[in-house]
Amino acid sequence: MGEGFPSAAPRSRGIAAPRDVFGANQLKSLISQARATIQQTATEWANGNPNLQKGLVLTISRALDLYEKGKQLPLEMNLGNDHAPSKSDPAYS
Amino acid sequence: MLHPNQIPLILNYVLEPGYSGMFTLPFYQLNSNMHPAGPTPFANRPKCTFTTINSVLYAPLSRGRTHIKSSDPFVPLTLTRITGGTLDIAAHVGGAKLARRMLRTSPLDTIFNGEFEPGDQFQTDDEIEGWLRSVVASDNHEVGTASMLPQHLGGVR
Repeated sequence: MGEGFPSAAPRSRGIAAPRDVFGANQLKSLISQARATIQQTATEWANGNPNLQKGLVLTISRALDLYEKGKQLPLEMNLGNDHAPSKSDPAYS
Repeated sequence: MLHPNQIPLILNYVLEPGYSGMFTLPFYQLNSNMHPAGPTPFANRPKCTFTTINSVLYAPLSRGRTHIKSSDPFVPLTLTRITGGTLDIAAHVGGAKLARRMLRTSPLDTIFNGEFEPGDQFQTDDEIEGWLRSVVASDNHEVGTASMLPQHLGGVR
């Protein structure tokens, strides 16, 4: 397993590292595709607000920078015990 | 049978209706054989204790629009025109594969006894993506649609 770090939620195992989720070439290609469409995405979702358009470009770019640095990915892996209670289970009583 | 009367005592008449409503929903789901997390109803789950790994993409790059169609909380929101999701979809598929590896890697492999969902028949990225598209759900952390940015970048006060 790669870097990542533990998260605060009690069920959680931690935050995934990019190299645990993507192949090296796959991530490079996906980031390249995403960067090529930033302006188009920002224009489409800014509702005609030029300031928001700039904000969208900035936030998406920063997110892709984090992906590219390979330190962390906004993907939380929550590990927990679970069970399928029957109607006689104390949880139902 | 679980009952909403089991909710904690709320000593605030302003907040109480809202708390009652929020507690009533999961009680209804549990008593209706629906699980608030995961695609499989209680009745179809393994009759034993098992391990679940949820892969949650909490900061997707995708953009879309949310429409509330009804005051009935069981009527799903309408999410339209979600775009920009190629990287997000790859992250979801990669997350499912990582969960599999976690359970087959020490020390979790010592208790691993087989896979229930999605199941061994889903192996390729396309197969996993297809399964994910049929079961993916919001993690219900809705906090608003306001853009949290400085005003000169389109944020709101």
